[in-house]
Amino acid sequence: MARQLVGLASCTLGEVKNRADLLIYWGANPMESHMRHLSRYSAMSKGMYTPEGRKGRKVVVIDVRPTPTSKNADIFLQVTPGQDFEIATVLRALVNGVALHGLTDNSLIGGVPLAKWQELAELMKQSSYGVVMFGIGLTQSRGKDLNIEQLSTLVSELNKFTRFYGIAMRGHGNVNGSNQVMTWQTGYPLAVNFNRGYPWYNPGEFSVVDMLHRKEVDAALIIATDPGAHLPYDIVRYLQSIPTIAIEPHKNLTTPWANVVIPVAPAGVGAEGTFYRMDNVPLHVKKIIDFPYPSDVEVLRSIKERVSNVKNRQRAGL
Amino acid sequence: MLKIVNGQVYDPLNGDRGEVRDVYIEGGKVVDTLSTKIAEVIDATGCVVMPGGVEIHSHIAGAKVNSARSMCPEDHYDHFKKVTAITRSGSGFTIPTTFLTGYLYAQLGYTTAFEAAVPVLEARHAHEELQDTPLLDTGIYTLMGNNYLIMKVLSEKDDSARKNRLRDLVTWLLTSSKGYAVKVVNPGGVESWKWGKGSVDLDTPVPPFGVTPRGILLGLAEAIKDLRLPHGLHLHANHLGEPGNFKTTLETMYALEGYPIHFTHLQFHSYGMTKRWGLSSAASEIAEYLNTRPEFTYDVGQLVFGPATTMTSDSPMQFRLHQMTGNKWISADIEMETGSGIVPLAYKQSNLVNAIQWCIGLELLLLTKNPWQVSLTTDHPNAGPFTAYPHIIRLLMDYDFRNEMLEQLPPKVAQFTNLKDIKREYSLEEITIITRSGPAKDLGLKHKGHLGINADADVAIYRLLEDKEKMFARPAYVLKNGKVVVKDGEITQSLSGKSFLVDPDGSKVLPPDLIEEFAKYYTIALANYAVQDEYIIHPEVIACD
Amino acid sequence: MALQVHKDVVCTFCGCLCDDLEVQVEDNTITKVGHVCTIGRNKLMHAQSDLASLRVNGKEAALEEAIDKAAEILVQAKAPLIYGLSSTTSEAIREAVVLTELVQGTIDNPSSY
Repeated sequence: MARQLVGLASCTLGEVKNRADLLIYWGANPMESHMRHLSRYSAMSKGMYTPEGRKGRKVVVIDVRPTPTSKNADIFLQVTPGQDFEIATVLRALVNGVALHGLTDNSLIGGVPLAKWQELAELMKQSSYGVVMFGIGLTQSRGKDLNIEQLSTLVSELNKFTRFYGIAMRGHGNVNGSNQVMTWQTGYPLAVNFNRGYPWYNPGEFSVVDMLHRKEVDAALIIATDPGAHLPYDIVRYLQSIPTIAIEPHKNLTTPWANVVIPVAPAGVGAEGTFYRMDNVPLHVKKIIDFPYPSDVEVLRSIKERVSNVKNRQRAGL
Repeated sequence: MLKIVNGQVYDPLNGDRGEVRDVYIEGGKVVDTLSTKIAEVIDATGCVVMPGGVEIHSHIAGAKVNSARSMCPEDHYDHFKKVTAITRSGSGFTIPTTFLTGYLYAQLGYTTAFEAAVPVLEARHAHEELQDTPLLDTGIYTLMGNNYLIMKVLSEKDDSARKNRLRDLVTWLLTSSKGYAVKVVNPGGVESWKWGKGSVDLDTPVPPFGVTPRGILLGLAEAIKDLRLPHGLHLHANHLGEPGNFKTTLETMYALEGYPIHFTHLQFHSYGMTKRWGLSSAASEIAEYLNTRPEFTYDVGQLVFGPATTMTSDSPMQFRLHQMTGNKWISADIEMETGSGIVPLAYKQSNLVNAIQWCIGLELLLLTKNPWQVSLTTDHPNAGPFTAYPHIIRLLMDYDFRNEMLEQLPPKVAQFTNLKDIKREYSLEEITIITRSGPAKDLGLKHKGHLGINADADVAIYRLLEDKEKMFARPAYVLKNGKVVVKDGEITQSLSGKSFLVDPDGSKVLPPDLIEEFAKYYTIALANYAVQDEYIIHPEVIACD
Repeated sequence: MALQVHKDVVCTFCGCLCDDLEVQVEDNTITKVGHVCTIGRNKLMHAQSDLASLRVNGKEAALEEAIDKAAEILVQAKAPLIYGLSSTTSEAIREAVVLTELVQGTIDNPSSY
């Protein structure tokens, strides 16, 4: 959503591999969450202009606690939680040479002395191709979208001095594809309501957590996601009280209580189709083995046909 | 099966200039006489009958367009379409959603459109979106002007080995992306940007191999000619949007004489420079030269006052625009191939620069003697949305109307442009040429852009009105593939179009040394690179002959 | 059945989409996975276990019955929510958007929170 305010300068993972001489992992711990990211695409990869791999790159980690990723960094800046917006703001000022009145080298910003941030700002400006990879530590902490907005602005401003980009470390395999498809069909990447017959977008109003929290939904169709595992408890409780359909390959924390469970062949294993990588590169995923179940495309089409028939009958009856 | 009667037919390719004749349609084609009984008659009394419109350069599908949609919800809030029994819902003004894009084109009488800039690495995305873009036959142009493998092959010393290898590589990139034509954007300039270097001229060596934009252009132009691709090199030249860039544009043209080249959005490349580094029109210099070079075609990229969304693969230019306007900015470097940038804008009548740009586009259109050399575009949505075509048509056909508009601009435009002195008015035949027959010919689509026997039965029927904007904004009928899809400006049925592809006579596999480069420097497997056949639902291969 | 080795398989379990996996299949069963992280291997090796089963209100059901019931729920709802879509194909997501439009519901994915 921050993208809608300031945009974002970004690049594909191959540019990170081939060109990046400065990598900043901010609120991201790929050693545990995206295990091959470092070796295939980032810190440890060897690319066209980075033949030395890890040795030729500067690696910085900004996080609230030491992680396996931070242990392998050149610089680890352990910050106090919830201060990302302030940090990005200070970095912007330092990069742009704006005087920070009342602060000294020892003043703590997000728990780290200003001198350290000054050092980082210099590193950023002196790099020839810098990339900041931000994860849920930044997107899910206090400030959320404001953090990303400030970070995106910082990235954008750094392009006055050098090439500098940001990449969101997307978690689920095709959450990006979900944003992409919704955008090309409705104009908006998430939280779209069709009550008026056209796409109507309002993140605070139509996002899943808000809608369920306000009990504005009277039935739910869950596809290839496990709200029982990911959503807050009170919201799951409410979901359990309304008719819920789960289209899902495996048993999970939603299937035991969903009113209708329709198992499907998992994408990329038992069904083919398109996935969008975290950097927007689209890939065709294959069917490797047969499953006793149809694909979710087939199931969704069948449901659509049924619904369509009912609607047509209703229309004819009127 | 279907007969259109009593219409004034405009079919420049076959010599019809408003003659009243009947058009017969069967099996999606224009036919001589009907073999079966006539099931449907369309009475086109008081109407002109034209081939369906052909869009030669538009940004309608793929990663860049979708990033723009996602960045700009403000483009969508007030512009939406409700779902009906026939059509899907949608939203957007300068960057409409896919279904809405198809409907809006059809509602203007357009039945074919080409997406102008697609990296091979992201081609799958463009094809996915085009599947969701109804009522149009489509194709994509494949980006090659900053491609690493292309530059590597171009750096080879041996002349004949270089030529053969380039020919094969162009074939492989086109077929891997399921593209239709070769697109070059700011040759060498995007790679230079990735190195943090400045803009490039025709002879600036570009890292890492030191090949020059001139070398890239000549190499690709020759490969295209040699492969007999149906459409020439589709070129967005260096220095887009910069005052004084007409010199680069002319130099580029001189360098490419004798090759089939389509210069795109030429309005953005026809700028002179005032003594104070401001913008002035160099449209007459460009047009006078083009009038002597029949092998060159161009589209205009006419500016439209109002909101626009600039999006190109020219990332350095987009960054400059972001710096100038302070507007939000998306940029995306694409490994090994290209970059891209997006900045939303609004063009204002009261802004002198915008007013001069507006004049330059019209001057180009009016000073080009042979209408077959020029296609009407707005470089959608860069210079404005394609939905402004009826308005632009009126500007071309109606001198008084044009002057009225001109008088609303800052008076200073007269110092920097010549538009007020140009009295020419386009005829309906000329409009037919620049909106359908010309682009179809330029694209090498022999079944499009005319209503002769065996032409695709894509037909637009407009009620003849004095106000040409009104006339072209609301067709009485539009036929796609022989079926009525629009009646009185409203969609009556939705269907999916064809995808145009080419199958050039070059190697379909990479040579071993480039396979090695691919494996080392791309982040996906070679086996997962080429767009699979299932992404194209109704393919039509256009011959390279 | 003969042993098959699928090369350049795309791993669908996180946003990295590593596409160089080697997956060995014997008798329609995944027996070995190479070029993969621990999470990916785990997911692929267990892709065929713990499958969900067709259920309507807790009872075993046939596919047609479940689909009928799902359609009935969506038709009867005044404000249905279609949610998730984080681990399926864009082809499926396209169908989910049409369905949401048809039932005039709300559609969202996990990137909203």
